[in-house]
Parts: sequence; C-alpha cells; structure tokens
Amino acid sequence: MKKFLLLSFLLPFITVVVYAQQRVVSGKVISEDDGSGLPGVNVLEKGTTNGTITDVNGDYSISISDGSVLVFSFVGFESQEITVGARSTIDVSLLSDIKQLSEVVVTAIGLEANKRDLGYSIQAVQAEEVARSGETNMVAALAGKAAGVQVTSSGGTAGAAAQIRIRGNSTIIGQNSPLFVVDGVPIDNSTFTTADSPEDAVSDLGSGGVNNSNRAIDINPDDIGSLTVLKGPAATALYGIRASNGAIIITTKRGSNTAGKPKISFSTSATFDRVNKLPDLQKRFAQGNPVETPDGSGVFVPTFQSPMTGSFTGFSWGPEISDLRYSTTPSIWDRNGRIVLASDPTATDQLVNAYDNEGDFFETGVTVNNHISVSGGTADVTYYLSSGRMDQSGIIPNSDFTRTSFKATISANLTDKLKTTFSANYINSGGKRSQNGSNTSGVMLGLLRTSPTFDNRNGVDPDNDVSAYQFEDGRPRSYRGLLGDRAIYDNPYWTVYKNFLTDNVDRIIGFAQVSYDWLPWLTTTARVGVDTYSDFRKFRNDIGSGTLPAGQIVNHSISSTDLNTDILATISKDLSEDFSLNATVGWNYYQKDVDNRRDDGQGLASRGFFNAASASSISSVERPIKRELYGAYGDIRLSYKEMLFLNLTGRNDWSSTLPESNNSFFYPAAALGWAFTESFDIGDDILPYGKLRVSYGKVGNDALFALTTSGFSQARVRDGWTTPNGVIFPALGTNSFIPDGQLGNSELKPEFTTTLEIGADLRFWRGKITADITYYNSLSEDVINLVDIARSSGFLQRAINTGEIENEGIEIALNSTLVQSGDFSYELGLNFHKYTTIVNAIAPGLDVITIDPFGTQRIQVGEPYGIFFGTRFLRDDQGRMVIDPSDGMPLQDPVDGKVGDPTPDFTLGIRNTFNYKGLQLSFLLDIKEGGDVYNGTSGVLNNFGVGEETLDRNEVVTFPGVLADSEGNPTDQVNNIAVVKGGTDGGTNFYQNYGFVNLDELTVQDGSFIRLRDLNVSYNLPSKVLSNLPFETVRIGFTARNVFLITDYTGIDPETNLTGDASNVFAYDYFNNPNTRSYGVNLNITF
Amino acid sequence: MKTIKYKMILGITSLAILTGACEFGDTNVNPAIPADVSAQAIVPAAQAGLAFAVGGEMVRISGLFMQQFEGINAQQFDNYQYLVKASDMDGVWRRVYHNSLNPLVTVLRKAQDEDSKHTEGMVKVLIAHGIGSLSDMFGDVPYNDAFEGLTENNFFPTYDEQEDVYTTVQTLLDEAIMALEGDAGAGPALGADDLMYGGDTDAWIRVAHSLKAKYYMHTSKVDADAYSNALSELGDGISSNAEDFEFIFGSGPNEANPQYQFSQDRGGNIQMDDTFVRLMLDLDDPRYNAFVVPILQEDDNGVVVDTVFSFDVGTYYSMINSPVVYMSYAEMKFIEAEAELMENGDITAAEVALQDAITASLSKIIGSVDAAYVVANSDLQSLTDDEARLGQIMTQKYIALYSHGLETWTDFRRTGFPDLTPVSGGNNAFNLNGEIPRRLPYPQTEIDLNSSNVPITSPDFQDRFWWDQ
Repeated sequence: MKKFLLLSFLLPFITVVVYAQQRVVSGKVISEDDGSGLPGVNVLEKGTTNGTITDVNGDYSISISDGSVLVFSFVGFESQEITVGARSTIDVSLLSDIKQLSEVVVTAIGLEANKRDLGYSIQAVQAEEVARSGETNMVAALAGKAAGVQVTSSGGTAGAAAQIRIRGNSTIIGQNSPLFVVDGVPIDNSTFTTADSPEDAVSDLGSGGVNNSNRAIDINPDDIGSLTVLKGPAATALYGIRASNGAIIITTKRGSNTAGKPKISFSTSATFDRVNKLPDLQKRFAQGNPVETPDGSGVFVPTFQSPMTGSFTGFSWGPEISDLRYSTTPSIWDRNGRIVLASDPTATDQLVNAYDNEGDFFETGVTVNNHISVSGGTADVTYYLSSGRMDQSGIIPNSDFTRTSFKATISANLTDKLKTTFSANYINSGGKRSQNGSNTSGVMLGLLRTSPTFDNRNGVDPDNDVSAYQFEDGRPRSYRGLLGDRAIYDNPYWTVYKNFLTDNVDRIIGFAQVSYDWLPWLTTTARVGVDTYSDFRKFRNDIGSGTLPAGQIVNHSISSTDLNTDILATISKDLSEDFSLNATVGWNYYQKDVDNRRDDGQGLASRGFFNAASASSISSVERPIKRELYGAYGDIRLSYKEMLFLNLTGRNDWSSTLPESNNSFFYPAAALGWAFTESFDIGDDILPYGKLRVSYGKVGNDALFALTTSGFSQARVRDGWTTPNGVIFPALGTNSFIPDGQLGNSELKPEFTTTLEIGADLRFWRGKITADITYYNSLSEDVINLVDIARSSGFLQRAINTGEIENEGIEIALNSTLVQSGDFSYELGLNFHKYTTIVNAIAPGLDVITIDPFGTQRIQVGEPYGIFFGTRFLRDDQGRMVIDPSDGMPLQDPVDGKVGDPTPDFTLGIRNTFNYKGLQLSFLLDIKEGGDVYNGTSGVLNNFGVGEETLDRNEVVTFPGVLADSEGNPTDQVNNIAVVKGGTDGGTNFYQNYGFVNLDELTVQDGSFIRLRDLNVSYNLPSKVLSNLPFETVRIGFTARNVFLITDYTGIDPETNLTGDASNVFAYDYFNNPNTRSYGVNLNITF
Repeated sequence: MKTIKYKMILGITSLAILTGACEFGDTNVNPAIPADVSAQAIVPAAQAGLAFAVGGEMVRISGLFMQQFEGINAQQFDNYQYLVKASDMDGVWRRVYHNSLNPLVTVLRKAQDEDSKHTEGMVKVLIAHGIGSLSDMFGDVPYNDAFEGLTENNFFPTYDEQEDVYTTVQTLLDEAIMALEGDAGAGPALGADDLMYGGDTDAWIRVAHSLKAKYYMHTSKVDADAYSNALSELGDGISSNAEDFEFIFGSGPNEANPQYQFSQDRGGNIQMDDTFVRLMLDLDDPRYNAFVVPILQEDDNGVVVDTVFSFDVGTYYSMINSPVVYMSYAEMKFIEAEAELMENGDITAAEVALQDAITASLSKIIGSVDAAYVVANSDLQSLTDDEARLGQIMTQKYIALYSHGLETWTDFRRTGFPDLTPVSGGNNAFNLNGEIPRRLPYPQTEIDLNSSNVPITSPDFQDRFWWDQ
C-alpha cells in the first residue's frame, strides 16, 4: 500500500541541487513491518538540499560529502538519521509511525494531499489490483475494488464496454459516468454507438448492434502507477462539472532517480477465456408446433416442423426428439437426412441428434499481453518509456481486440525552480466485433433460439468450411429456413463471419507541464493536455442476412479532440507553529470537438463486396459536437496542529452548452476534519488514530450539446420493424425536412448536486485495522432533462430542467492485517456499499420516463432510479392469482405495475491476501445482494419453447388461484381447471399466453450473486536465487477471473448490460453476449 | 529573464480569464439542424410519413385482425391473437403525429402565412385522412390541442371526442375543397414537392370529395344521413383507377414501400392467413396470384411437402415500389353499391356499382378483367335478402380493399362482414371474450406522457367507438 502510494508523488517533490559530490553511498530502505522495499523515501543529506528518493524497490544512491548525516524520512514512518562515516552501503529499516501513518492521495487538478488532511471521502485502488484483475478494460478492472463504485460489463466480448457508476445515478439524460483523469488531464471515456440519428437512439438501443468500447479501454493498465476514486463534490469540485459524477484519478508510472542507471521492467501474460454462463436450454423437444390432426377431430399433436417441412416456424414446441428418426431421404438441412417420425416408412433406425449448438459455439479466447518499460533518471531528469501490446481473441468466433501503446513521460528540472514534464501516449486499438441484442443478426438471438434438432455447424468446422452457414450458391443456411434467398434469423456463424464490425482507433493522449517555484512556498504550474483520437468503423451486413437482406455497408468515422488547460498557483506555508496553509487558485479551459460521420450504404452489388462502391444508395449523416468551458477555481486547506483540517473550495464555470444568460455558475464546497485522537490523546494501541469528517459540497453540471434551440432535421421515416431500413431522405428524387423531434430550451440553467458527507477514518490496534466509513446524502436539483413528450404535441422530446434525484448511501472501506507472524501475513480488505437513489421529480405533469427499448425500465417519481415496471399477474386482494375460466390460465393484470428494482441491497467486495516470503495468494470475493435484472432473454426463450423451463410443457397443472367472472373480476371460487401447461394438446400455452417476452413479472429476476472475481498467486524469486541471475526481481504468477459465480439468475450473468455505457439503461439483459471465465499465467521481470 | 517569464505567465493567465467571460458564439448550434426550411421542403417527407404509417402499421394490424395476415412470430404472433400491448401502438402515433401530421400542420401554418391557398388545401386533405384514420383505431384522439409543442409549449394535448374528430374531418375537407377551387394565392405554388399529384388541384378536389364519402360511410350505424351524404359526394370524387389516392414509393433501398421493407427485414413474422387464402381459392379469384405467393416446399426429391402462403416475395402491395393506397376508385364504387342498397333499396343500382367496383379492382391489380368472375360475384338479385346482399358487397370489398389501410377492419366493425370466426386463444386480459377487437389500446407513450388526458389506460378491446354503437 505504502509503496504504491508513494509512487504517485515521487516526482513533484524532487528538489535536488547537486553540490560538491565527493562520493556515492547506496543502499536499500525497507519497512520494519514486512521487510518490503520502500519506494519514494526521502534521503537527504542533513543540513543541505542534497537529496534523492528511493526507487520502486527501495534502493537509493546518493553522492555526499564526507562526514555527512543522512536523514531518511517518509510519510507514515518515523524518520531516521544515520551518520555515514566510512560506509558506502547503508541499508535502513524504517519503523511505521502509527500516528503519522497516512496515505498520500492525488486529488483534483493533480494536487497531492495527505489523506489525513482531507475532510471528505477518497479511496485509493492499488495499481497492482488493476493489473492483476486480468481485465483488458481498466474500467472493468475496478469492479469490487472500491466502496461506492459499481461496474457492469456489457459482456465478455473482446473489447466490450464497461459501465461505471460512483454512488449510483444522479442525472437522467446526461452522463452518469465519472470523469477519467490521467496525470491531471481529463480524458474522453465516451462510448459511441452506431445509432444513425438521435431520433433512433432508443430503437437502436434495442436493435443491438455490437459491443462497442468505452474509450478508457485505451489506457494500458500496465502503465498505471496509482489510482484514486473521488466520490463526492467536496472532492471533485475543482474539476468542476465534468466530475459531477465523481472522478477516477489515474497517475501513470514515472521514472525516478536511479543515478542514471536504466531500470527495465518486462511483463508478459497469457490468459485463456471460456464462456462463463449460458441460459439453460431444453434438449428434449424438436422444432415444430402442435398441429390439429387432419381428421378434424380437434386433437392436436406436437408435430415436427422445420425448413425440411417447408415451415418458417421458429418454435420448438414439436415432438419428443426421441420419437424422431433420420430418413433415407437426404436433406440439404441436415447431413444425416430428413427428420421424420419413427413410424415413417422412410425412417432409418438412426436417432435424431439433440445438438448442443450453444455449447459448441464458443471458443477459447486467448489474450497475450506484453509490456516493457524503461525508466530511470538522474536528479535532474527522469524518464519512463513503455511499449505494450495486447492481442485478444474473443470467445465468439472471428472476434478480436488488440491494443498497442507507446508511452513516454519525461521530467526535467531545468533549473532548481523551473520544472517540466512532458508525456505522450500513443494508442492504437480496435478489433472485430459481432452483433448482439434485439437483432435478427445478433449472435445470441440466432444461437439461443435455434431448435435442438438443427445443427448450426452443419457437421463441419465453420472456421474453414463455409458450408456451415451458407449453401453453395451463397444463400444463408439457418434453422428457420430461407424466404426466397434470405434468412429469417441469421445462423450465428453467418453473423460472426459475415456481419461483423471492425474498428480502428488511433489515439494520442499527452500533456506538457511547466512549474516554477517563485518562493519556497509559492509555485505556479501550467499544464496543457490533449486527448485526440480517430475511430474508423466499418460495419458489414451481407446480402441475404435476416436484417436488411439487400445488404449494407456502413462507414462510420469519429474523430474527437479534448483540449484541457490548467494554470494554477499553489501556496504551501506554515503560518505559525500551529497553523499551516495550502492554497491553490487556478484557471481552466476545456474544449471538445467531435466530428461524427456515418455513411450508410444499402443494397450491395454483390455478396461480400463491402465497399462504399458496392452500395446502390448511400445516405450520410454528419453530427458534430462542440463544447467549450472556462473555469476559475480556488482551494484552501488549513490545518491546525495536525488536528483540525478545513478545506474550502469554489469554482465558477462558463459553459458553451447553456444559454448565454445562464452560462456562468459558481459552486462551493467545505470540508472539516477533526483528528479527535490528537485532541484527547486516546490510548495508543486500541485507537491510535481517529478522524471525524464532515463536508458539504455543491457541484454544477451543464447541458448536453445543442439543447437550447429547435429546428428542422433531414427526414427519415421508419418503424421499429424496419430499422435500419426506412425512407431516408434524400429519397424519391428529393430532399426533405421535418420539424426536429427535439425541442430546445433557451432558458436552460445549470443543474446542481449538493452532497452532505459525514465520515470517520479510524485506525485500530496499532493501525492493523483501518476503517473509512462514510455516509452521504446528495440531492440533484434542476436536473437537465430531455424528457419525452406526448407525440400528439407533434414532437418527441423537450429539454427542461426540473428533475430532482436524491442519493443516499453508506460506504465502508476496511483494511486489516489480521495475521502477521514471521514471514506470514494475512490481510483482509472489505468494500461495502449500500445506497438508494430516489427520483423526487421529473417535470411538471410528467411522472415517468421510460429509458429502455422495450418500455420496461423507467424513471418514476417517488421510486428508485431505473425500476422495472410492466405486466404482471392479476391478483385478488388476498394476493391470489385470478384464473381465466375459459382456458384455465392466470389472467394478466390489465394495469401494469412495478415489478422490480435494480438497486442492490448492498454490494461487498472482500479481498483476501496471504503472503509467505515471496509467495502471495490473493482473491477477491464479490457479493451483490438484491438488485433485479431484466431477463428478456428467458421470456423469449420460453416463448420459443427452447428454454429449459419449458420441459414441463406436457405437465397437467391447475394454476393456484381463484376463478374470474365474465368481467375478469375475482370470485371466491378456487380454480379447478386442469390444463396442459405448454398447450401441447392444442390448448393455451402458458409460455406464449402473455406475449413475446412474457410477463415482466416473470422476466425480472433477482440479480444477487457471489462471485470469485479474481484469484492470483504470485511468487517473487528470493534474492539468493536472483543474485545468480541478471535480474533484480522476477515474479511469476497465476491469475484466474470469474472462477465461480453463485446466483439464481438464469440469464448469462447478473452483471450485464445490453447497452454498455452508451446509455443510462442498466441491469438489462436481452440476448446479450455472455461473460467469460479466464485463467492465465504471467511473468514480471525487472533488471 | 525571470521577469519576462513572470510577465508572460501572468499575461497569458489574465488574458485567458478575460476572454473566458462567456461569449461562445455559435458553438452550441447544431449544424445538422437548420433553424428554418421552406414549406416545399417539408411536403415530401410529410406525405411519405403518412404513407409509411398507413401502409405499414395500419395495414398490418388491420390485416392481422381481419385474417388477411397470420402472425407467426414475435409481436405479430401476439397481435394476431388479439394480444396488443400499449407499447405496440407507440410507433403508429409517432409516425402519424410526429412524422406526418406535425410536418403537415407546419406546412399549413407556412402556407397560410405565405398565402399559398392550394398548398393549404392539399395539406388539409392529408391531415383529415391522417386524423380520421387514427380515430378509427383509437376513438378519441387529440387534434384541436395537438401540434402545439413548439408554438404554445403545450405538451399535454387534450383529446377530441370521436364525434368531434369526424366533424373536423368533414370541415377540413370542405375547407380544402374551397381552397383548392379558388385562386392559388400569392405564395409559392403547389408543385413538384407534391409527390402524389404534382400540384394537380383537380386531383386533390376529387380526393377530398372521396374522403368525405368514406368518412360519411363510417358513421352509417349512428347517422341516418350517412348513406345519402356519401352518395352526394361520389359524383365529384375519384372516377377512374388512374385517379386513385395513393402514395407510390421508390425503387431505391432507402425509399421502399413499408410492406416491402417489413417483409424484407422481418421475414417470417407474418404470412397470409388461411381465411383469406381459402376465400380467394374458393372463388377462384383472379387476384390470388397478385396477393399471395404460394411457396411450394419441396423435399430433396422434388416432392412438394407443403405450401406456405407468403405475401412478401413481390405481390401487388409488397414490391419495393408498390403504392400505399388510401382510397381507390374501386372503393368509391363499393360505397355506391352499399349506399344504393342500404339507403335506396335499389338492388339494380347496387349491382351495377358492385360490378364496376370488382372490375376496377381487377383491372387495377391484375391489369385485366375476368368478366365471368365479375358477373358471378356481383349478382345481388338472386340473393334472398339485403343482409345477404350487403354480405356479398362487403366480402368483395374485403378482397378488393386488402392492404388499403384500415378500411376492411372499419367495414367489419360497421357491417359485421365478412363473417369471420375469431382466432382461438384470442382471450386475454384486455379481450376477455376472445372476439375480434373493436379498438386498440392507447400507446404507452400517451399513458406515460399525457396521463392526465388519455381517456383509457386499461382498455377493453370490445368497448365500442361512437360510430360503432
């Protein structure tokens, strides 16, 4: 912990001037507690300004004059003074100072602070934890690692986005994601969908598309030096509106003074991914439906129907597979022959296969990650250079993701007062992605709905044999047959080999920083950061696909540039013996420029010809986004006797996205910390340190781009069933416009969130247990909203700010060294979070906003954010189901209601770390209690008769409940109508009776889980072995992700989200691509 | 040196702060959204929008209820069995109110400002049919208070009772006729932007009279003058197939007919229903091959094992550039036949009109006339009573007006013909008796977003409209 904390602030404190060196002393500084090397320890020649700091391993080297005394000092440890004498090697062991023990954290604007001086909650995550999570996406890597942080991946697809929320949601249409800041420079973490117009944003959520990346995926976790999570406004106010949902502060690795000796660090890993969990499907009943026997007797028999019998049916309500045989008649649909009843004269005695399509489909994904860095420096110049390459092949065939990164950070002290740092990070990332979701070309839709009697592979290996998914003439082969020359649902192999998207991102993130120390206590710093990338995507949809059989090629290019400038002055001064002051004033300019162009070419000239030249019509959309922001801010930290701490912060922003009259807004924050143990001198051993803190902060937020005006938009008309088709102007020989569906508002004003935070930082038993406990209550007011409006108004949405959302929660972060005995130690870390988010108001006259594509998830006044609302069984006042006397089925309540709440009761991450000599075992158990998930997949699979639940289709059941009268009202008469549950006798089928996705009451499921999120074993080669090797350290490790998952959730994963981070929809599962379980090995070498 | 640097930094800082005082120019203006466009630039999309709604969602729901289509998958499978969710209706409201009527009302306002009388007339005809069709699905719908989101900040339009909507429809059509018959006014003329008739005012006048007849007929159960009112409009209405009121789609993939698009993008959700197919087969109807594509399913030995009846491989209404028909000459003649029979008891006149109607339909759909078929199916004299005669007229109308928006469903509710047996399993929470629905649920968007005005949130599909009493 300490090691890592110090890495983060090594550089700025190097204030070294070299005089009269006469000889070199070197050595190693270790911690008395665990013998580990301590990096970042200040080594100072007493009475001079000559000094250095220890490197990552605790090694140092310093030139001194004879007769010197060296002072070793380090936050959280008792300082030591050692007279050098004649020695040239001095190893030092530092004792931890419980009272001083503290963490230095990076706060807003890159300011470092001792955590003990802060009056608000802040939590550091070890860079090592991020690296060893095994996730390629650093956002996904944060899951379970900080209290109050909730991360949901959109699936195990290579390169898939992860959605992150700090303390839940606070706004309705705006970003709920935190700000990502790398080395003091905010970076872009957007997820761009392939939606082709704002108007289609909602339908496109449903229509699937691919799992895109959130752009923080470009940050190579191996370059991360430290990571801090800023949660409330008191912590983030300096970053202003962009951090209104918290901030993830990343400090990348830097070089240190190695007396010119380069330090080379190399790591390599190989990880193997398997599909983690799939819905359970039945393998007993064939494709088909109950069909009335031709004699007209009204008897229904489940009958095999498939393309072989000329049927388009998607259902698997057919006969028992064991009653079927392959016949002597060949079939193009199955290599074994036509499927017939055993009694058929052409039947052979070969039993019909029940294919395990979903089990066969997924592959073993392989991720190979290599990273090399060279770092080092002298007292005046330090450098860190790295190069990383990650190649990932997905569990879905023909999907991959790669990331190549180069990074250079160079710091130079040009004079003893003028210091500069330059950093540049180039990333190339991208891959091949397949589609998911509600989309007839979605992988999971085609795969899971396939009847067990159809072999999607056609008995061959689709990797090298196209006959799996297409016929000789190129027409698609899939289980619902061909309509003319096109598929109804695409064979999943067709989807992955033909209808994929490729993306290629080139990105540069860099900054330049200059600081000048005017006086020992006054420094000014200027920092300019740039984050610019281009993302070129090409989407293919081949001729004959279920979606858009005419074929489609989409060229989509996004280029985005964020420019961020900060100029600040910092005063750090002891005003008297008791008072010290730390103050910052600064100015910030931020500009964002996004160019987003999408050329949609439909109607391809020939199969597989995926070029704009192939399209018979091309429609282009150009949707730029621009914004500018100026901010002025100030921060004062006062401390009294290291006992009372007061932070005052204020910021004023001027934003381009608000009307001129309202575009300037100010928001303050105040935080007070009281180290009560210092005041009362409480017993050293039991509670050596305790601090109470309270903060009250306000943070503003501006609007999305271009919400202040209304106008006309180029017309396109389509319905949900014809997307992505439609009439897209220019068409019919002309261009045309209609009033844009979105009504702007010229009176928008900023929204504000105010947060009260009360907490305590406690250290028990000589610091063996530390606990950070925080209660927060925040109220977001005047929330800027793009609310849906009645279509009869002529429009679709209007911008307004009236919403009010209240967030309340408790976070507990606990770390303890439970056992420390000789070479063995056991550390336990807990992160606990419990919260509620209540929507108090949306807009006048409007109590509900639906946020998901199927109208099930909504924001409703008086309810938690994102509740599930929909269809359910009709019940009488005693809660008994009411049964339809005409068919014995439970009646649906004609009035919809709340059927679920995705807010968990609590989340708990439990990190266990065991150390024995150089061996370390660590694992993270992640627990979520409660929190519903919408499992639309299961509803549809049951409707189709492939869900495992439908195995009870032939059971005769009498649904418990009371009969309805002819008006549908409950009577007291207990239901006595026995029915065949699946309607296989021609009666009503329970699984199809309530519509395509079934009753929402049935599809919304409890998403509780216990997951072994990661497990790591690593071994550091002992020094006596190393002494014979040219290496300084060698660590070998084994990692595993998602080792087990215990949950009652029947979908692919209780942690999944259809739309990734592209919307505020969450806990939403509709034919999402599944998650992965992985195992890997890694090797880290430094020399 | 130091001083220079100091001054520089100070200078840059203060300069930056000063310029930061909050003038952002047009940074926040979306260049893709122009503040204004001409009326002429709106007309094509507004016309296409209405055609997409009528030829798409309206044709589908009407066809499923009327057993012309069978839903075999997804929501169409549910709708076929009368299970219609409020959210299933979100689309059609959006198409009608946002994609079509609001643009048309915007054109109307501009035309009135600019004094473009003929544009005003044309727009009123389309608005009348749009709002009338919507009322035939839902009953009471917003009109007088609608389309005011931008102009009046009215986001919660009240609903007009259906009877008032019908009055509005007739009034709009009367005003349209007056505007189209008068001089053009000083504003830009109606011309090429009119994708339907290219600015031909006579054509629009005929359409207006025809629509008046149609909407009079819809009130036949509740208005004693309905038939005579309808008859009085026929003479000024559409008088040949060439004058049919229809929107013709294009041949590019981005301008295709909605039924074609549905068949392409959602193949396997709908096929032709046995009821409709059997009716035509029994009558040996010459239009069979233009409406139904029997796909013979052969096994690998070439033996036909099954036939699937598809609408979606290029029938009259589902080709890429097929028209969406709002009102045809054939419909005029069916109206005449029914009105002559029911109002005047003139069986001969009814029979002549019925012959003309069938003839018009045959020549429109297949380009030729099977005289024997016409004679065989227009014989009213030999039928025993007016009920049977009405049945004969309406059954032929059911075939001829297949895929003409909602008309066959409206006729069914109005006359009880054709005689359909409800599908099995059609009972659900909103349709307890399992009969063919008389109305549709209001869309979820109205229930959520206009909750204080929407008249019914938990519908009974058997609850009848004003004109259906």
